[in-house]
Amino acid sequence: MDLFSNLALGFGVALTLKNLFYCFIGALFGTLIGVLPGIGPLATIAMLLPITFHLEPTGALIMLAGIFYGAQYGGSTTAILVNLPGESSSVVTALDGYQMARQGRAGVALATAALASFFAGCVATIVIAVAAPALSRMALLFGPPEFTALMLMGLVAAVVLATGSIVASIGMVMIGMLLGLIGTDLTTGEQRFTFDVREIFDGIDFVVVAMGLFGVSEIISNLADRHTRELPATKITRLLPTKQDFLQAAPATIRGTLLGSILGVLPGGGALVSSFASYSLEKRLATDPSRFGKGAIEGVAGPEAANNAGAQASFIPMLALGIPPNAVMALMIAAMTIHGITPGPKFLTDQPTLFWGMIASMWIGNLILVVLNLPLVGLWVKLLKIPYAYLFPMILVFCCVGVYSINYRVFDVFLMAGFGVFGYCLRRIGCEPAPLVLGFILGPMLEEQFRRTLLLSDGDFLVFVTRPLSATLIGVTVLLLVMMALPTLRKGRESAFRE
Amino acid sequence: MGARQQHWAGFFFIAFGALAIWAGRGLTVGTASDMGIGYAPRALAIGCVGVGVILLLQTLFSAPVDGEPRVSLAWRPLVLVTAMVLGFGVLLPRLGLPLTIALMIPLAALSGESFRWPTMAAIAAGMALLCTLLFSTALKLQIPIWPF
Repeated sequence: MDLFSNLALGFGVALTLKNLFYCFIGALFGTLIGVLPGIGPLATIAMLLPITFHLEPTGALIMLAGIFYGAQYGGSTTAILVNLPGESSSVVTALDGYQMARQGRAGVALATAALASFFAGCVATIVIAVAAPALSRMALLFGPPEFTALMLMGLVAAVVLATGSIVASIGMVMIGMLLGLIGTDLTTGEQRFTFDVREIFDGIDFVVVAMGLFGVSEIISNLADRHTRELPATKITRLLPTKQDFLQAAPATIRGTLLGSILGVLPGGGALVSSFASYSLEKRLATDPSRFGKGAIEGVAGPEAANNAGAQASFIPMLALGIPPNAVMALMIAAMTIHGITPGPKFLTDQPTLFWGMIASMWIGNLILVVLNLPLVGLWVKLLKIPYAYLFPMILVFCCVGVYSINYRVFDVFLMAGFGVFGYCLRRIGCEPAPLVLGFILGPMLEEQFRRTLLLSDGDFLVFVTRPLSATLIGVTVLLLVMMALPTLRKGRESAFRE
Repeated sequence: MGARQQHWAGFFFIAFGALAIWAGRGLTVGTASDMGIGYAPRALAIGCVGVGVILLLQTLFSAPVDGEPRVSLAWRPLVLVTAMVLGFGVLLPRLGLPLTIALMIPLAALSGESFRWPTMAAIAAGMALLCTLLFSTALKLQIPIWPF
């Protein structure tokens, strides 16, 4: 079968000694930074980007993917041990995982999280291998109107599924798009919003924006909050779950994996939404829902499986269509562009070794994480004990070096400082910067497709609804917007996020 | 988003949109069938202003919640972190990587977090050495190392 020969090709690439090493280093560094509170996967990838600069594309992508899971993974470790979710998608894990730790079952919770994630990762890898080629074959039929409609739907869905005010999120997307349009226009060669600053003639680098909005501004927020950190008092003794644990966790893991694989593909989906959805599903299915919040093992297994599957499934639209479903994938696209790779429908057929090597390395990365993390848990805990006064200047140094080494100019460092202040102010007025980042990447693409569509249709906007595929996509977009305008549904969304 | 925050957010979006309209005033807008480079920016800028207006209108109809904190900025970390990043940018081309890092890290003492000087000094020296070895020696990034 085609799938197996492709996977064999992929493992052939991923199992070379060099690529195994990159995968290992990526997973290790990803976990290392992911464990630190207040640094999500986005900032972690942005920070570690420079260490992939000198590698050839395959190695670099494998390492980046490794960093990505590592960061996801590290987040759940701290969620369980110290009730401090390293990133938003492990907020749910903290609910029951931390309670398990307080009952002296920290080891079991960690092992459950690791094994559930591993299972979900294995399944999601196969889902990507099947779905991505199919989706990219479909995308070859897409014309400019379809791509425009698809991106619009993606942006709207991302806004609807995000937390916070929808109107403000739409505004953030538009600001992101405006910032993304800065620089020289590719079709006409004219400049927009450059104010004669030569350094931004080619546009603002995405990594600078991401690092400022997520790295620097998060440090400012963390220092302002001055959270006192609770140190883990529990000793990790027993790692292996009992037979009863296993019987409770296994079905939850399978349900979580399925949920994550589906939700992850949707625009705006991914790890966060999947884990929330899985937690409420498990709670609803449980014979005794009152156990949740008091150390129910399903409450760890389900969401952990779901967030891992969701995180990995969000690679599908990114790789197959070149359209990022969330901010982290937007950063992955930027990272791939640095290495001269453009994800999209042609990526699979043009670069099969790269694509399948990356898929195979995802599976290997998951395996490495299980092997790496369970014995090293003690080390991660020690890392948490480092006072923030020592930690934040180190993170800041990495951010600065990282941003400087994209183009070797200090202008980018100054720009990052600016975006740091901007991001902090945005947070203070209640505007989350994640939709901005998505708009930043999609803005120029959307403009190009939109321009092409209307050029071909001679300015007729009806072209979007007369072609069946784009009409469907526009229909879904409108439906999403209408749904959110209805007060009852809006309340439902609010309570879903509060839970 | 609290009512006070929403107020600020409304003004922010209007200001940003207005700025974009002003900054893009010289760009050709064109028509739908023959779009100029100003078409999308103008549309987005107007959208921004629209978002701001909606947010402000919403605050008129929602009663302010008691006890909602005022929107304020934590000036100390804001200024300190910004200064550290800017300092890195200014010093790097003049002093090289290790010296810049060694000077930048101790600034963290001003953050108000508790720390000990010997540890801080050790971290500054350690990071200077580690970053130089990692980024310059091992990864061969073209970063200035020496102050001359």
